[in-house]
Amino acid sequence: MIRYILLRLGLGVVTVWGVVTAVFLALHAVPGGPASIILQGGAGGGDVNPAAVAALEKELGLDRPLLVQYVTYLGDLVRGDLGDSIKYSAPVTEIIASPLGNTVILVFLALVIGGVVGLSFGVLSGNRPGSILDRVLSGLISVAVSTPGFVIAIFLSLVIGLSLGWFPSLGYRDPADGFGPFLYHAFLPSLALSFGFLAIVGRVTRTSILSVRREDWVRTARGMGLSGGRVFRRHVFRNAMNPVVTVAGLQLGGLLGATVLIEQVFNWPGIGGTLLNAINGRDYPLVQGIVIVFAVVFILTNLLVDLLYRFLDPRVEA
Amino acid sequence: METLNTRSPRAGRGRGARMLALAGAATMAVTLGLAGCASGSNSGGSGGGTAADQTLTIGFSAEPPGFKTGVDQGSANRQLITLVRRGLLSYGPDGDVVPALASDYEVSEDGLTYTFTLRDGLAFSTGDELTSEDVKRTFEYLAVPENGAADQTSFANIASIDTPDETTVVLNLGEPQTALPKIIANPLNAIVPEESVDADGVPIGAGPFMVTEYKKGVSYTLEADPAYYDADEVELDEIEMTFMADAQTRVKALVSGQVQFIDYVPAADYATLESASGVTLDTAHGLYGALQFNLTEGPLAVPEVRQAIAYALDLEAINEVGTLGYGTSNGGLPIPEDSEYYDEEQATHFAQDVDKAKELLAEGGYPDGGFSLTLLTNSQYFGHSERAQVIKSDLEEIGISVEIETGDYANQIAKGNSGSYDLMIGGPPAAINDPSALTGAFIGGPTFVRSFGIDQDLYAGLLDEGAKTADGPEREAIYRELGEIYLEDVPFVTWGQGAAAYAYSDKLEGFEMLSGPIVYSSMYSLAGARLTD
Repeated sequence: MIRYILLRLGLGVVTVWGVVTAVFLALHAVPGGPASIILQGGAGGGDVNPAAVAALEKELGLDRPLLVQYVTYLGDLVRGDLGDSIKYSAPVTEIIASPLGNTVILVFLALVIGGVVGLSFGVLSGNRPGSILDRVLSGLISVAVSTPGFVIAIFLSLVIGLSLGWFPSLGYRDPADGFGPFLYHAFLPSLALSFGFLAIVGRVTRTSILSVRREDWVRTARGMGLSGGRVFRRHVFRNAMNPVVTVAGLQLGGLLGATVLIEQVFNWPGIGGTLLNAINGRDYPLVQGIVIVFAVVFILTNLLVDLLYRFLDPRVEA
Repeated sequence: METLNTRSPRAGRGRGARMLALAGAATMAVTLGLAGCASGSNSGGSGGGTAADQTLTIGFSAEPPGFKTGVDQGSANRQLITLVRRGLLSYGPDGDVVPALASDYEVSEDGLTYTFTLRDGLAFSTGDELTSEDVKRTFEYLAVPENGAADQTSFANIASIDTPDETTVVLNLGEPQTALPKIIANPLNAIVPEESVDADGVPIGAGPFMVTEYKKGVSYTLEADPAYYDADEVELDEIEMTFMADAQTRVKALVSGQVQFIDYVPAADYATLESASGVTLDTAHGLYGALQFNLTEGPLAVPEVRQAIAYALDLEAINEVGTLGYGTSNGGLPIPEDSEYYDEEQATHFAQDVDKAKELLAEGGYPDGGFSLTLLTNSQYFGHSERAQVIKSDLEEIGISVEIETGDYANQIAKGNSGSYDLMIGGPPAAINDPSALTGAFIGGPTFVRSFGIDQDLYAGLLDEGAKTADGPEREAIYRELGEIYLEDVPFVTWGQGAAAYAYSDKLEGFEMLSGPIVYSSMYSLAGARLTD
């Protein structure tokens, strides 16, 4: 087991290295550099002496050969140093801490909302296939699965936020100023984010329950006179959860990606917006740092899902 | 209540221009009186009483890319500087030059010596004294080419700076420079302490407000600076500035009351804001736009081809798609309509004439066109790609096929700087309301704000003469002659001024929008603004 985990972590390191290299090359292949954006980038500006751009490039070490920059970056990375953001002149870890936290909370809330609602929908319709309730819930799930997250986000922001005024249509409060106002502002973006996840969880739960209900051991348990509730809890639900956990784990990466658009709609200062600004500003270390965080989260989640899978179903071997 | 303030193009013609005409031409020294400086709190104005809470919330279009002293880093940077820093001079509500850190100044008869008298007891927001030494150090820094200041050549023209005492600064110029007061009033040239930016990266200055909190990627909090020389006149206690890069988000935030003020409203949103209640939309003419050329090789190296392109363009259609009609459709030199140097005949010289364009193409050796050009633009700002579409179809009328190349703004800057384009949607730089600002359109290093490969020698002499000459008929003649050369050479085709707008709650009183090149200095007036009940 330990060997399996170590092997997976080792593979993870190779994956991160691959991602870093690909992003490094891609970023440097794109026209435009951070120095010219800092000095000329804003709309309405830009008459800068080319000597000043060259001086800033030298100061930032961007005049060195690409290979030297790459090796230096990897060397720092091995020592756990993600480098300094070019725009903010501060360590990348410091810059991404707060937005990453804001995004993780959105994703967590979306997981809770989507998990609870999705499971409930799936269980309710999976246990009564063909009923009116099943048809209504399946219909809702189809709508949720086929509507892009940002469309739902704009709808929620305009209708629930702007027209009805139940929740803020956009904005953010620092958790340091009280968790209540923070959650109040986080609700609509996490709700918007949860739709896609909710739909997948609901659909997989329903299908999985339907198929487990047809298994021999369920029929046997019923034949032994166990109550419907006990059969569901002990024999159907637990066995139906395996595919749900797998799919839910895979969705996590998608949720992180989906925050980019949803944060824009709600002006939520998360990692998605930070990444977008970093790309527009060609802030190489910041982009790379964020991509590494995404990759690590993705790799660890996949590992966790696999481990959870073994726990849920002891028949699964390494 | 809904209000639409559309500034008439000539409304901005300021006392400043006339006062400076005097300053340059006078045989006696001219002194700028204190009287002109009141930016007015309008306490007797239309609104109600002063609100108890004087916290203005702003949805701000961008997080500034940084604060390099004197460098033109775009509108977000400039707007924050108008709040946090002050120069010796500033702009009043009509765009005229008014006293700021300097209570007055005198110009010698030969126009070569400027003597500024600083107010007593000046201090930066840090509490440190601001003396003539700070002025000298700042101006000397601005003169160094490697520091990248937008007005570097103007400051390089200052041969020496004397500081006989703590409140007197004497600038000894190498050559007269008529527009110097306007340049000194440019927020980019504000006086900075030795450490001009604090450890957090926020600008320090001697302005009406100071940044007290910077949440990176989220917001600035500004508070009134008690050390500001005119602190008693500042009525806003606090400004909460939240970064909202997306224009629709800013509009939504204003309409829902989450913020009271937004900047950089794209023309596409004017209609929404005009019909919103409790909101004022303030529009003015903005910076000039132009179709830039890479003149180094191929058909675009031939003047007749460039003239043909100028005749092929429908400027009104470009204005319509780029600003929804809120801008202007002027050709000729990029001089605002409200300037006394604006020449209507030259501005309308290239009225669309497809037949004439075809004739010129033939004269230039390209009968029926038959060549293709790339047109570089970006998808980040409203109006750029839209104008590119019109230009493409106009040029296809005369047989030139156009391939539009779009990407983010960083891509456009990089390709523009290196001349990797044939045609580009751009515009000349301009920071002050003076024809000498034209220099930036023709002269300087190869950057994306100028056509690549422009024949600078053709313009350098006249531009130099114009910058030195005092306002008046002689100066007008110089720029008219320059305009004639431009119409022959056509190193770029101007299509008119863009549209710029701010929108804010009706409760805000005293904000004065400036127009033309100084439009992004408009937030100077927040020093005298207040919130009403």
